[in-house]
Amino acid sequence: MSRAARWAVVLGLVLGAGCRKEPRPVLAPLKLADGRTVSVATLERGRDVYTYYCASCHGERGDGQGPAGTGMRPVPRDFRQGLFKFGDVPAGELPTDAALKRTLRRGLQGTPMFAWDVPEADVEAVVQYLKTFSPRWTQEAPGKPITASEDPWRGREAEAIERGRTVYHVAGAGNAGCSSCHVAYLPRAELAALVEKVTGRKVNLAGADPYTAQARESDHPVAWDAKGEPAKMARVLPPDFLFQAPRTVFPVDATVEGRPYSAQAQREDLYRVIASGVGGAAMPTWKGAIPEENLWALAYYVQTLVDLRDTSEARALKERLRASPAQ
Amino acid sequence: MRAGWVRALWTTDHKQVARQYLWGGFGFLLLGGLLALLIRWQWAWPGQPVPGLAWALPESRGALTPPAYTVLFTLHGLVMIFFAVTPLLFGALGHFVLPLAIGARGFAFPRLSAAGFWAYAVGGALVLASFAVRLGPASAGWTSYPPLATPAFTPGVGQTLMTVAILCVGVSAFSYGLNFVVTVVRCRAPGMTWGRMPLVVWGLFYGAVLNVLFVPVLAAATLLLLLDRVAGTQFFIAGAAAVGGGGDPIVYQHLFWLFGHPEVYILILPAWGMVGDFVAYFSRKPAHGYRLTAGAMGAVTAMSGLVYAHHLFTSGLSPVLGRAFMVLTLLISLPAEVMFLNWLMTLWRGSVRLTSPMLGALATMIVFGLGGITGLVLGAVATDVPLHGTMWVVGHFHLTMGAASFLAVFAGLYFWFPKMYGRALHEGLAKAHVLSSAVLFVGVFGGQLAAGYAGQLRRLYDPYQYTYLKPLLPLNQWTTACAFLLGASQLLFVGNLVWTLWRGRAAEPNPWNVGTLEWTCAASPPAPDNFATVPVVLRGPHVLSQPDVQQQLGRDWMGQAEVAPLGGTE
Repeated sequence: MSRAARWAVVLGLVLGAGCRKEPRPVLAPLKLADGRTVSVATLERGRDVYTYYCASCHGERGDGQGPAGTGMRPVPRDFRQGLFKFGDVPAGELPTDAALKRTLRRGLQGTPMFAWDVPEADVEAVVQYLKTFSPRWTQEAPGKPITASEDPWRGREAEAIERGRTVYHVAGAGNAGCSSCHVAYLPRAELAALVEKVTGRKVNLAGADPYTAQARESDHPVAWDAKGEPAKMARVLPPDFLFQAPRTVFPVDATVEGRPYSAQAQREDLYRVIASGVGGAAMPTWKGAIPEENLWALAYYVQTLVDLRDTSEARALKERLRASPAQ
Repeated sequence: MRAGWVRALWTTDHKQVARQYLWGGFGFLLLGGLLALLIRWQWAWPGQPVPGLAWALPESRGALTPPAYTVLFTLHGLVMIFFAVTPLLFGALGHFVLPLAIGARGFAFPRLSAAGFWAYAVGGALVLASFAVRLGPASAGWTSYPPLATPAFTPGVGQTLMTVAILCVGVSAFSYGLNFVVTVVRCRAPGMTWGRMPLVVWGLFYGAVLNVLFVPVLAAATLLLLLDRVAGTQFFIAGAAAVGGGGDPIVYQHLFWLFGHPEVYILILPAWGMVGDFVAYFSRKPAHGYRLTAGAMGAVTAMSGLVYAHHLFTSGLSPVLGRAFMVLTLLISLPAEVMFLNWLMTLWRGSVRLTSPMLGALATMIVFGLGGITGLVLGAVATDVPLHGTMWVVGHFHLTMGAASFLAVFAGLYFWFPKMYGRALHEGLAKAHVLSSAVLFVGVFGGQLAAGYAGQLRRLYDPYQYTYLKPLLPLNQWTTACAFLLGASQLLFVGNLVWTLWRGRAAEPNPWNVGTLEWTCAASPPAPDNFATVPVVLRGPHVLSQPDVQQQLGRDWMGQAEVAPLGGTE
């Protein structure tokens, strides 16, 4: 072998070692249960985008166990479950593409799920790719999208807030009774009086603490056994709106998707989350469970709480509530 | 029997190897420069499509996405340091000048220098190949810090290719380092004592010593990183990325900077040598305090391995260590100051000739001075902590190892080009190129210093996502304008080079009227074995404007090996 040929062989070996093909699962076209078929090209692009942006937390296998995701609370979503918190559909059903894309573009407040500045084509590709992780997508169609009805309280905000306060604090008779999981925002005496007025029931709040939320069971795993099956589920704390930012509702005037976020948009987002519920968590779907006007009233009322978040007024209110006597 | 192309490529002639490095270095300088302009585009017009880039980034219609951006700043740093500036300084200028300047017929190990070039070429080929693989080229930053550089966070093949490529340039740098050291120690012409070597030889020698000592440290760290990437070891994977046990990513930072800081001096020592020589040549005066200058360069070399941990002040270093390294870091500016004052003293009341190499040397002095002064606040712990994450660091190190090394490369190239190719470059274009580059460098990196002082963080894809950085957009646009002009001004050099190689006039035998061996004892371009007879050196490199020489020879310079007609003039 001439010297030149020997050098060529050495060069080839070095280059070959450098370029050794990595094992990469072959992707097949994905036949979704809603009749659409996702092309291999889209899935491949989606996998690249997923590797760039998502895999470090959500894991290469979509299991929510990426190296940077360990120990995160809330845990990064396990895409193998096909279960999403914010899907614009009755809680627990498969989400719409629009909802997934909104989460990706806006991010989830208070979590490391940021507002990802990803080109539109890449958002589309990665949303389709994450459907390869769960067989649900090939077996059932996404839920029926929950859309906002006409706001019946327009021009009657004060009235809406008043009604919303009742819907929030009282259970039954078309009211939601949110305060039984989330905390109450009325002093004990007022709370008891309101319940009695609406339901006729007398309640004694002397020994009760309606101002501290309790964590609730969820369907979202935080630990997995050796087989990859969920071993322990996350307990989710219903947000206290005075102190905890709702994940998908932003402060008024924040820049969301490049635009200023209006009070109207904030109210609609509150309506959307309340109406749909939160998939896998204790928050049920309220659309259809209470009258539409009460649902909107609730959005108006919760908005007043969200706007108070992290103000001195909120802290003072909390102090007042905790100190309130029973009667 | 060897084919003709092999004979042409596998050359052991140091001058030919130098030319190979020169073209390789220019190619990667162009690539690194274009990447830099794309980074600047993103900071001036974040997320806006780059005209003409839609073919590369079809999903975003040419706009830089965060992954594309991380590739850009990773590749810009790696390409510029390992594939452009070091190869140009040592590979091109060093390979060409060193044997000629000490009166040697070639390197001590000619085949090693050829093998070194081919290691560099393979590394370069791997970098270019990495653009074609899935997930694109390396994107873990130029320092390749783990755990980011491990497969857990940067799984693409591109990062692995880059790791191998760094090993290749490590082989190249170590081999020419060894070659330079042995050649200077063993192969000097008779009479070429240590005290008669041109300062550039001192600079190259010291730089080569650092290469020999510290490139293996980088190679070790990179090899361990490569094993982490391909063999499943856990030298640097720890914490979140490793399940149980695992190594420590901070160890990599120590190893990397134990090489990385001497690398800064590797990049600047040859430049200092050139500045020392050129200010003497073109002030027509002997270098002031020659021994002190050479000694100061030696002191910097000796201390350069003792200051590295100032890169780690914000990495959770023990405060005791931080204080020790702060003192050492600030001390190293003293010998540098000695050297600087000697240059100024050389210029003082000299007969200054603003030739293109001289302008390059003066520009190197100025930008290096600015870089040095802005570095003091990074050497002190208290001021480094708030500034370390900002663009201040970027402005500072670009002034020292970017602008200063770049300008020194061109000072040297303009000086030795007639010797390398036997043709004279257009002096006016060369001066315009050096001047415009220097002014625009100060514009670009001064803009970065200002942005850093205002708090702009240095690794952000879109700084303006932070409300407090929004007012810095106009400043960044101004800086970007300077950068684009800087890019455009390189056409002055490209045009000059192409024209000269095509039909430039033949160079005079000694256009700069200096006495060093390459100009007085060798042809332009030199013969394969450099000298007809090995010169016997009689005096130092800066015998300029000496009255008795002027009297006897009618000129103000005298060759290092020139026999004086009436004796004397040592």
